[in-house]
Amino acid sequence: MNRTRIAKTRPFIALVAVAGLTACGGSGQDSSGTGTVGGDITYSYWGSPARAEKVNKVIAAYQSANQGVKVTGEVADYNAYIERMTVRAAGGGLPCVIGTQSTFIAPYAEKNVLLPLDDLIESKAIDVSQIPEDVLKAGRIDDKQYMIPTGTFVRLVAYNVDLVEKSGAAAPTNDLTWAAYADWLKQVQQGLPPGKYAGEIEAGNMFSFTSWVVGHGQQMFADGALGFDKQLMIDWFDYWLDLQKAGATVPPSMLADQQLSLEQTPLAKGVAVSGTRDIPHLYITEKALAANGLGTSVKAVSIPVDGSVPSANVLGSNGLSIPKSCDNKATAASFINFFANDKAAALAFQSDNGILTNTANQEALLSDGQTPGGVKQNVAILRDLTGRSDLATSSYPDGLSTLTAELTRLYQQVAFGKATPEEATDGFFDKAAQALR
Amino acid sequence: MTVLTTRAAGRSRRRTSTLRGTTPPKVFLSHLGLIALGITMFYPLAWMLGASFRADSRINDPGLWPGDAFTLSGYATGLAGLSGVPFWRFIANSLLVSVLCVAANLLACSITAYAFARIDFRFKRIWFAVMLGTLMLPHHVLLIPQYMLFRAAEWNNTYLPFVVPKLLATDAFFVFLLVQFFRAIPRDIDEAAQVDGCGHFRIFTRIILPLSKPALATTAIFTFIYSWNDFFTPLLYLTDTRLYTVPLALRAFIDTTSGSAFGALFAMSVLSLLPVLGVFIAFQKLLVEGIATTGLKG
Amino acid sequence: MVTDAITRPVTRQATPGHRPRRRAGRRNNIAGYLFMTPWLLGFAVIVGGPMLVSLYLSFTDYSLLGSPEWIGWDNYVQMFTTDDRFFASLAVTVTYLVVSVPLVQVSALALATILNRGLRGLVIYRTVFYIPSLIGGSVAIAILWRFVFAGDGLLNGLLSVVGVSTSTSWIGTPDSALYTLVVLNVWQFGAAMIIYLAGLRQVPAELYEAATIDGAGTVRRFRSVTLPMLSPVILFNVLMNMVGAFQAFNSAYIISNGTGGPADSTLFYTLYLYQRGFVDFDMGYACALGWILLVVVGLAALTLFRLSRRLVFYGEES
Repeated sequence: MNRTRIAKTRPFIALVAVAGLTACGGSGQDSSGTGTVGGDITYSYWGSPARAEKVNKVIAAYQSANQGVKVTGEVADYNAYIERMTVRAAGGGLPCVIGTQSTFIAPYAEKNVLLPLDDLIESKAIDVSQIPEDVLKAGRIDDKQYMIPTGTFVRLVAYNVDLVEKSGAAAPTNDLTWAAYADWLKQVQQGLPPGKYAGEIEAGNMFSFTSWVVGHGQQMFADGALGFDKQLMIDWFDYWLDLQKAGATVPPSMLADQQLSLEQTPLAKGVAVSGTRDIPHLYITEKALAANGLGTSVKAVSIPVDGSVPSANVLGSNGLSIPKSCDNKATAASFINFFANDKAAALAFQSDNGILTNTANQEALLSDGQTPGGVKQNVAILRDLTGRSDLATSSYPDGLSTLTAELTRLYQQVAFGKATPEEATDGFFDKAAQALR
Repeated sequence: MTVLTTRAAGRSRRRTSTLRGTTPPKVFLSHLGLIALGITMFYPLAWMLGASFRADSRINDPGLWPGDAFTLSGYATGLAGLSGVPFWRFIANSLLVSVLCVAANLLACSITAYAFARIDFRFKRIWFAVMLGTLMLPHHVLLIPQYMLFRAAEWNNTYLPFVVPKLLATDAFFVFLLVQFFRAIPRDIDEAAQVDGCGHFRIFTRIILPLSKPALATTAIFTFIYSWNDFFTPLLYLTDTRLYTVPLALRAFIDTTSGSAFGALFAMSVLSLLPVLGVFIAFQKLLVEGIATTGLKG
Repeated sequence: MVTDAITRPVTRQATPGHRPRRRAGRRNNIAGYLFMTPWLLGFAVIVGGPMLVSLYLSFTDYSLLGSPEWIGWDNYVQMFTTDDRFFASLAVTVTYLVVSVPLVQVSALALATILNRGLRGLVIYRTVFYIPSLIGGSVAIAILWRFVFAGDGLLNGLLSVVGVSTSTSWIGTPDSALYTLVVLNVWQFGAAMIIYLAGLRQVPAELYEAATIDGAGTVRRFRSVTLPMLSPVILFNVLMNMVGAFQAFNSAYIISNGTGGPADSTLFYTLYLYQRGFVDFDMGYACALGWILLVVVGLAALTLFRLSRRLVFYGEES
């Protein structure tokens, strides 16, 4: 009868599913990647329709240079991409080339989802000679290269040039200390009309906090735990709480707006005069302001440093990785190599996801007439920073995404008066003990 | 049986007016209240319609009329679609999936609901509780085992993970809905049919189903809307952009890491609203002309 | 079909006042399970199996990318002893439920009753009230809602027209953020309204006639005819609304950008579950959260059903 048949199949199904789950962490395929380039692969990445068009151009260029290979591009917005990647990683269904980022790559690397690419680099299947060592480091976990960086991002302090002028304060410089920055914010605020604020609130932003830690000469993470003093974090919260109370930052109710799309943030709407931004976001913000007549130029200066350290501009990168479950590693490696190094690819993609890492292609992009002005500006800014050695690195361990969300949440509690900086710091350290396993 | 149907047909003449107590001032006030409520409820949508014609930089303007910020670029960008696949293709995909889901749901859920509502079989109560229980577990928890299941069946990149679960009546919401509607139909009719020699299948198809047109229409409308707006299933199972459905494509317009295209988002949302609205208006008639049960006298 | 060929000799007449009892005979068992085949199959393979797997996972430490390790009751213990956000998310969800479900149901029933009277323009009203439900679950509406309730948004714009000048970001302030989501839910009462309309259609006309002949006024007719006849549908709507409110996710996710809103004020239970599972990679804990939710919702539903026994009238009982 139906009943008994169903009753028998159910435990069986459960068993199969569990067996599948236990088998899915690490499939033990070998990492050779030698083999002929051919067949079909899928490249899964995040982005908007505009980026999809550029990727398609890169794919077309690759396919015409490699007859007999078919690459399918698969795009989703960033949040959806992460969800999809996570479920597919757990279920064993990742495609051959995936877009990754230094901020979230650690768990996948450490749990054996990704292929270490060192062999492919040694055999020159993937050429990294044009990528600076500092940038390469961002894709390395436990001394193994899991990601080939194709785009760098650095967060700098961006400011609305016109509003700063109107407020009567001087433009900020590249060698501010945190104390000087606070004074500058207060000074700007004095010259602003009501409804406008000198700065966005950076307290809940993990990148800014990392810069604070690095800029004070300490480390974010060390030996599987937090690498800085509790007092440093309490000071961070106090710093921003003071500015908030002095009215020099946007009110806490605008914290939500800061997480929105770029054109909707307080800086882009002319409500805040300064805030931290990735390099590529500078000209997007500038365009948004210009379209509404709220500003003509957005410039950036380095993140403040507290004297003892050369730089607190922490860099991260976006890049490409190969999951271990890929069944066509040779083609995947060849595509990654093309994407990262080929000049035609670089000119087609126009550095759309972070500043492109290949230094030779940076120059090519700068001299090409088709490159939009904004892109040239981005590349120029990064080259300037590199030239001045004004860059720093940090590590991105497993558990970082949890702590990023936790920091945002904790500062919201502090900002709305629901927790003291000490309580928030304790909460953060507790969470870190759990998350940084 | 034939006596029954003619009586039902006779009764379907809808009494449209003259309920006692509905005097003209009351009617006027009702209309006034309804119009006011309607405007309040519709305002955000009207704004969205206006925003779809507005340039992205001015998307925040609170007014209804785009005025000098008028542009068709939202529609142009939106219709160009994603990765070379034009937007009308996504609408067609969503239509296909939703229609299939409606058919599957109507078939499977009505059969199951009939069993729960009209047949006494062993362990019925337990199965009913279990069925309701399946509604109460958040779907995120089932995501990964189900993904592995469908992957093992190699249903990746097809519409099978959408339709087959519906065909197997996993939509407990609609089973429950139909159970409640079926139970509201008096059993006397069934019993009379049984006297005439009808088995369960005949009762189901000749009596219960025809009397449940409003419920079935409701099921159809809701299934269509839920599957039209379903975002998660296509995200997980569809890899080929040409198979994408509307919600998946729409999300790409609001990627927070690059510039967002709100104009395109609103424009395409307005366009995607049209088929859904069409389905609703088409099925509305069934709700209007629903046959009121007559009951059996005596 | 098997059942077609079966002609049961009728042994009892359907006389008034005597309801023939249906005994669970063997033929009914066969018929029942035959009709239930699709559901049984679907449940076993697509729902039940994964449910069991998730139950198993709730007793493990499973980081999604590795293998599950058995840890017994640890997840559940942690949930009830050291996890503040668990209780916070429950509080948010229950508040949301307790405020929005009654509002939705009362509005839906009221409007359905009014619209069922045969007013002119019925079709237009019904469509207008229903459109929000048609599109309410989409990402565009969530984005729209942010625009409406932002500090420089639609609502404040309209308020300033009326003379109230405020620049509070309703979505950015913890005290009000949840209520913007309540408003979003209530805005979509059209779905429940349609179900009530369908239910009202099935109320036999002669019951109203009989009541009117007996001298009952509008209110009395509503209480004695409409409500009882509609009660199975009311039960359905309230139950489904409640289950849906417990599981609300999409709008909170998009509006709060996945964070649970300013200071956890929009941290719906399922959003918290999602964070633990997909951000913290603590899937075992997330499964435990899921099963606790099932227990809570199950208890709430049970209570509702118990209450309904006295209040709900099924047409199959004459």
